[in-house]
Amino acid sequence: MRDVDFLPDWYRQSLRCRRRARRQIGATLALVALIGMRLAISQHQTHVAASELAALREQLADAAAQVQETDRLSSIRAQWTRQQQRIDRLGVHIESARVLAALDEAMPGGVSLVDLQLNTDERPSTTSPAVPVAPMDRRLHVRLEGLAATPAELAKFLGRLQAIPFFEQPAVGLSKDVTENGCTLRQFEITFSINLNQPM
Amino acid sequence: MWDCRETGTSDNPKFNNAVRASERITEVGRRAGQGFCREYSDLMIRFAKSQISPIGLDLGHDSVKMVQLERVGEELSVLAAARAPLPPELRANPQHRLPAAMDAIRNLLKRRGPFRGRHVVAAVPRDVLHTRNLRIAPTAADDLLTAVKAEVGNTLPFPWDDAVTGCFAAGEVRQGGEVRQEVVLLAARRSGIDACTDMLHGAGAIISALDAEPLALYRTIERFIRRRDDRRDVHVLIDIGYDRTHVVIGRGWDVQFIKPIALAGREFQEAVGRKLGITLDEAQSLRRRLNGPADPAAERDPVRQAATDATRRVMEDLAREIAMCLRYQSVTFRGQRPTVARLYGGESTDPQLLAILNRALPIPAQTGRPLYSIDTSRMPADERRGPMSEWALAFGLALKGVPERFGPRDGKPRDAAVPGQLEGPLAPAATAPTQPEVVHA
Repeated sequence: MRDVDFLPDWYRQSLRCRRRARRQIGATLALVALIGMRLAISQHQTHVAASELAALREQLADAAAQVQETDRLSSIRAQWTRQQQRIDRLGVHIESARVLAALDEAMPGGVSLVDLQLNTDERPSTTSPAVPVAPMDRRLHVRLEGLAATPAELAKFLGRLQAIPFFEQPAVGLSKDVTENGCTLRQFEITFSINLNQPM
Repeated sequence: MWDCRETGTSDNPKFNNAVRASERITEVGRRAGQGFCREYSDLMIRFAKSQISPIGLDLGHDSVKMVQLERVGEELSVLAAARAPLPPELRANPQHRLPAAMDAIRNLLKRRGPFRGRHVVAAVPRDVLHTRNLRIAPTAADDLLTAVKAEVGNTLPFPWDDAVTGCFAAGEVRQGGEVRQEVVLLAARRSGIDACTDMLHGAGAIISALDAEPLALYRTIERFIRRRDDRRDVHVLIDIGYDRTHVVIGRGWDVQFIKPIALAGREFQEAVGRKLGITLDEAQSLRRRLNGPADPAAERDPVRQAATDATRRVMEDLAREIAMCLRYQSVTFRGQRPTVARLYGGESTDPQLLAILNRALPIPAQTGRPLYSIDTSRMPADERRGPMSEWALAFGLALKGVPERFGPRDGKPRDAAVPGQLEGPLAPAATAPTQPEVVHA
């Protein structure tokens, strides 16, 4: 059957325009939504990146502080190394006054010193023969001569010297009675050594 | 459709049941034809895609009728149908009736209404459409409109340039030994078309097409003609509405003749109103009541007698006009003759009119059943009573969106198609029937 359609062209065009407008609006909305979504994703990614950057900066600050501390420790270590090298080369310096002060403190009232000899002894160490330049073994040998009122005073003095950890092997070398102006005194000689290889 | 027979048998009881159901359908279909198969179609698994037509919109005098169809495979069914009656006090005045009709359309097209979508196929109003059968020299189809314009000239009631026109060839005829071409011209004033379009669009409808009523009516027949033999049959459709009667005659798929007649329901009401001294609305109500189921004792009711007497003359005039149309068709076109006249529209079930037509016409006149060949189970129950002939126009308009053809439920058996005779439900009575029978589209 032949069909006849009386629908006016302007209405068809109007429908087409509406459809086209709807499609365009739909496409625009879709595009806007797409852009919005892309923006949201970008913002999210930026936010995540900023968070990561802040964390990295914190880590960097921590690392910088650690590096600073490490530098400080390294400088101390270098200083100590230099000191150690100096000590290795020269030995530990011990002031005579400090030795005298320690002796004075250990000496009872009935003991007096008449002679004091301090001798430094250096000899190559025998403990590490494989090292080409062997470190030196340094010791300060101390020899005391004095008079004690009684043997008990001498024993007391010797006991106090043995109690001082820096003084190695205090020993009485000579002990005899001497008379001075009618009084009997005990003359003695004590030796001990101080290790100069290690700082005290 | 899923054909179980192709797959053999199985241990699955559901599968075997389906196979048995399929075989049963095949057997029933072989014996009883397509009608029985439809009853068993629910047993089959349906894979075919559903296709929904635009809404057919019939803007009538009493009511607005809308039909939407759904096609699934070879099956056509009513998806939704609705009728919105117009208030009686508004029907007489077109200035009030049309806004009320537009409100009704707007309500029916609401989002939660029964229909899917807002696309409608409407008909050009009857008072706007101008139809004419004319004869011109044989012309190629492409030049037909130009030739018709030259023939018609300025004889249309409006200027040709101010008209929306369409025409089609109805066939070749002999006129005084000369071969001429019969052409059907359909024309409408452009302003009327624009006003109609504006009005419907304002009611919320998206207009898919504006059709001509006669073509929509004939589509209710044409879409159910598939066989070559059936294409020789001549069909006479008479749509008797309130304002106008349309006689449409066609052969097979083609419309050959369209004739609007200015005698219709209004003239019947006016005749009754004049006779009984009542208004048109009262006359319409009275006629509707008298045309309903009546007991034999009421036949001698004086009011009925008066109404029958009042309308007899008008109906006889209408029958005479229709008879002239049939004579014109039989004289103009050679070949097979029509065997039955189908009546549609609000007046089609009037027994007095049917009786008068059956007396006056050379072929029996019967009330058409346009929806007989499709599934109407989804229509409201109160709309499925009777022949439903008043739904023909809405159905035909909805069919414009369904290009396929379907098998009629009341088709002729293949081996019994004898030219000039109809079998089964379409068979006309040998003599004029005393009681009008229903004929199926």
